[in-house]
Amino acid sequence: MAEVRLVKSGGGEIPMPPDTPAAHASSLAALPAQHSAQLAAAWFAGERESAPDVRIAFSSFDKAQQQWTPATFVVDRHLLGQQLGFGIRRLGNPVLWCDDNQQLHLFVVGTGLGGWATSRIIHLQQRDVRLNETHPRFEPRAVLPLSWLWNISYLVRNSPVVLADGAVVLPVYFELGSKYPALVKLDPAGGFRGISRISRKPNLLQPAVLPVSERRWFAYMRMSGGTHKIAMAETDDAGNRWQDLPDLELPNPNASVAAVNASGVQTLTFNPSSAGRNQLVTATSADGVRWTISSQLATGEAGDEFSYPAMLWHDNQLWVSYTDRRRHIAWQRFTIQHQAP
Amino acid sequence: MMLWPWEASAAITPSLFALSVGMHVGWALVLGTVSAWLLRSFAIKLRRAVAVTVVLLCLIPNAWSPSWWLGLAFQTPSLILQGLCGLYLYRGLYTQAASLTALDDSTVSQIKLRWPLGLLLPAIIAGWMLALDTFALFGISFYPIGFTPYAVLAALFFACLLQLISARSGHAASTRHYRELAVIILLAIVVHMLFRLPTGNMWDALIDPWLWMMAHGFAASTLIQSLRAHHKRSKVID
Repeated sequence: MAEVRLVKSGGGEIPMPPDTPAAHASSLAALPAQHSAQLAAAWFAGERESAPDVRIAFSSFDKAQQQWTPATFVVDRHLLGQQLGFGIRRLGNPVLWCDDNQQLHLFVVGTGLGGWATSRIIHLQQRDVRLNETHPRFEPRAVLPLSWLWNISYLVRNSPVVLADGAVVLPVYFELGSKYPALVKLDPAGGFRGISRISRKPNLLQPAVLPVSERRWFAYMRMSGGTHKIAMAETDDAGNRWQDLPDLELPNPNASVAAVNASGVQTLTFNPSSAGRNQLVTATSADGVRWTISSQLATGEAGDEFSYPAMLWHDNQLWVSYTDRRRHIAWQRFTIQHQAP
Repeated sequence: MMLWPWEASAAITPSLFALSVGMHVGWALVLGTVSAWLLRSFAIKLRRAVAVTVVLLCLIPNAWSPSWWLGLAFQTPSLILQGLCGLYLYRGLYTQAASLTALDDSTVSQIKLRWPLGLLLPAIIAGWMLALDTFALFGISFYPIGFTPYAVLAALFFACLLQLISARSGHAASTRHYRELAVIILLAIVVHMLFRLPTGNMWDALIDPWLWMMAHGFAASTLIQSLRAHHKRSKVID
């Protein structure tokens, strides 16, 4: 089989909103072909993680300028609370998705009375869809009903997977005491349809779903305890039933991973150490089980953090964004080259 | 589109407007009931005034409203809890019995929600199943079934069963409780079908963690009363 090389074709920092010292947990989404921007990014930003002033920031990558537009805040917890009719204590991980009608959707973690364990997932969607919108306005659409216990403790982190019929599966996870991963099914317009668990193992969270065919998908999961590896599960019937697989041989320090199918090349971005988040790499694989590190995205001193990657395969380019030392969001772009062995 | 086993056939969450109105009305009924219950030994005028004030406060659509903070912590109470609270408010504040200035024991017993164990046990068991299911302790997941029509059919079946029991029961108080709960469940089904309240999941319409905890309290109270009555009867026989 041909060897796969990731060739870097761009990278840098996504601009931060003015006077904003901290950023974390970015998400990427492809924009429609006729849009002036190629893709959009959203992340949470403010004084620090869990600070009262944290809002959701948004930027898009302009095709003509080949650079990111100035970031703006698109979700504010006070306004969101007014629109929902109940309070939101803190904002967290955002996940972006653009539907077939070119409408952007944003799934945002909002906490209840307590920390992240009291989170709920709020589904917002773009108002007044206009082509070439660089500062979209979002309005809440629903609070995803995921648990009977006051609907608390479900969070979102990784990008949704769009199925052949336009339906969407959104990876989510529960984290009050026992941690487990699950999938939310949405119809092509974003309407909530149901939820299904991924794994029976305890202490797995932040699933990243990688479809290798229409019905066969893998899920890669952060492990909050145990072997300091990346956990894996597979389904052969489009998420109906899941089987746990042996953990990957790759080390991981209890940190978020991202995965995407880049036209048949499976790609996975993760922290390749059981000790810390000061390295971030992208690996490639033909079968989704055996991985080869293909690019070193970032390396720092002990205590530095490069984490929470997001990946997108769009226009034959692999885009990766990640948290850079909690100060801003960095991005890199690759093309994939196949070389004969 | 390939359906999962417990997937709804169409989008099922309530509209944002319905969600907000449902949450405010829900907490208005619950807090109105709590205030009326706390003031149960006071004059009817005071009880009514306080309950109406609390209800109106809960209906304010901003952070001045208790609903804003209760929604933050607990989202929306179940429709059954709302129905029971509505019933309590009606009985406690607007019936002839409630109008008596001082509530004697017989009046209190009329407006008290003393439910038979036959009604409390299903609520307690269902709550335990849903609570443990939240922590993924079972092989199958019960909560997603609440998004399907099977849950609505199960609720309908339970309401019909209660009606049947009430028709056959010889005990007047139990008959009334079974019949009232059957009507409340039927109303909850109608509201859920029309507006998808409170969340789009039928189980959330039927029972919430607060109602589940209250069922434990009512069951304990009923058991203690039964034991006391049994003890008294034994003494008389001795």
